[in-house]
Amino acid sequence: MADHIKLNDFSAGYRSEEILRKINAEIPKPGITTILGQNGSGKTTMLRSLIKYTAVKGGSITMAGKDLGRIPLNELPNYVAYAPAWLEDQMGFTALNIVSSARISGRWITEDEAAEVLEYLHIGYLAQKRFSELSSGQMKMVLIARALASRAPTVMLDEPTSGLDISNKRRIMKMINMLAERKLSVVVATHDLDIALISDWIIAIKNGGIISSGARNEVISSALLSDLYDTNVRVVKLDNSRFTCVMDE
Amino acid sequence: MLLLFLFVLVLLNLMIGSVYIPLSGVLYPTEIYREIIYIIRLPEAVGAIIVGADLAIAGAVMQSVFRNPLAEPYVTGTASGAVFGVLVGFSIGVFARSLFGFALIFEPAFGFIGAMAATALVIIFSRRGDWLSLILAGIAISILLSAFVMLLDSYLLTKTPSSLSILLLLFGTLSGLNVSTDIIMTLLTVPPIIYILYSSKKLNLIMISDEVAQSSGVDPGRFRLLMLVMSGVLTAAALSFTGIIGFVGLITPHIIRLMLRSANNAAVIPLAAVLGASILLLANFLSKVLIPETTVPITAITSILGVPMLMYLIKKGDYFGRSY
Repeated sequence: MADHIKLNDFSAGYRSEEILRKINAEIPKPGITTILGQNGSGKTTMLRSLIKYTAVKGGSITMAGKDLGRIPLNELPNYVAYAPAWLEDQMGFTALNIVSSARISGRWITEDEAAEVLEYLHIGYLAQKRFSELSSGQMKMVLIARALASRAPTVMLDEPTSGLDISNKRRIMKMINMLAERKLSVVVATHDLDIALISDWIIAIKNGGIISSGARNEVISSALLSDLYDTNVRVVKLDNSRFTCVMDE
Repeated sequence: MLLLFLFVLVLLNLMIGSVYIPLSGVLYPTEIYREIIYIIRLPEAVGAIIVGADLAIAGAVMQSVFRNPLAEPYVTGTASGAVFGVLVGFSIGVFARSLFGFALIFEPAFGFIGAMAATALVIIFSRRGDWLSLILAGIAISILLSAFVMLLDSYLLTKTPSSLSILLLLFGTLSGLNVSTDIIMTLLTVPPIIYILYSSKKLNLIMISDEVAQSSGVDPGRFRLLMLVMSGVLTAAALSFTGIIGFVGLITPHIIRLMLRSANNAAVIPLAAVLGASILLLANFLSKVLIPETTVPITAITSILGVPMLMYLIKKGDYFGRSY
């Protein structure tokens, strides 16, 4: 397990506001790492910090052994790809336009390469559809395709299952597994416990600080989740490898 | 297709004017026809192509930069700022001309300053991410600057009666274009257009999302500013010698996006440039034939062509997402 990304005493926020405080964490590669926390806990800020989109207040981040602060912005796509939770397009981009806006090693990907990625994820039929006319599940799938298309070793997904019905959620979770099978590091910021339960590693954030992190089976517990969400949560073991979480009295 | 349309319009522009020149006269001009064509009509047609292309590209760029389908130099106050700057430049130019004997560059230079200042004001007074407030701030600044243009215009008329033609700056006219203005416009226009075409994929990124742009290696803030400066140069270059011409920048990119069923700027921008040039040639042609023996202001024509498209876009609603 090589530490692909490492946060050392890292603090960050926006303008004068500090949101993340003295974070120490490791994001290994390959595998799925879930940044788990309530809404407003700092999950998205942590993802944004990994694309240098926050104001650094202290500490550092290293990626593949290099200080992120010293990686020029135009080389960032060689390290990470990012899929936002949601985006609004008013101009009429097609799904293919969105995917082919990805960059790999200093060049733009071609439309053929973009179409291939859509096919790989079994959503080739969306290519020529207007992005703004897709369902929210389809939009999220196209954004994941875009992130995958850049061939970065780390793919970051912000809230990939929020607002989705159970069948779309399952498709997204399958996609996340497909990315992990490609030996990528998949970093997911979410409050969705189902994603946490298919992850290899967990980073649990509350009020901008880490309350626990490590391998899923060691971290996930009724006590931790109850603390994390300020409500009683019970982890129920289904069999040797599967868990589920239920609200408790 | 578009290029053929453009070519036909160029021919029409060479034929029509105070003196009608038949097609055979355009293709095989006599001595007199040659003078009319080479000294007046061809420079005017070439100028129309540059102005139309500039405005269309500036519109496509602004729509991407503001992520706002209604943005364009006229709507965002940039055009009024440019024209106000041009008048200031003209006033200084009157004195400069007596000193140095030339002053043509003052107008676009001050036009650019005016364009950027007006755009900055509009950005300051609009709420970030809210397309409606941007448009409202743009309209407010436009009205204010047009009032200043009228004031300055009235003052200049008392000082230099020969500057009667500057009154036309408020309405837009291509009649002031000649070989020297064409050369200046070309010099000011070509570098930003090359840079914008080179950056068209980056424009797609900032149109998609700031975080996505950042993660793809493009600093959204810095790139936006750079693109706004480029569209300011194009607007100033286009309007310095013609006055306010509205709606070309608004409708042209939308027509191309509807035709292509895609918003990829790498395809939209060059095609919008050709269509913008064609629309301005068409407007110039119509401005001469619509009311016999006089020339109608260009903005009247472009508005008549543009406003129905604007109404369609507003009515279509979903074009603006779920912002309201």
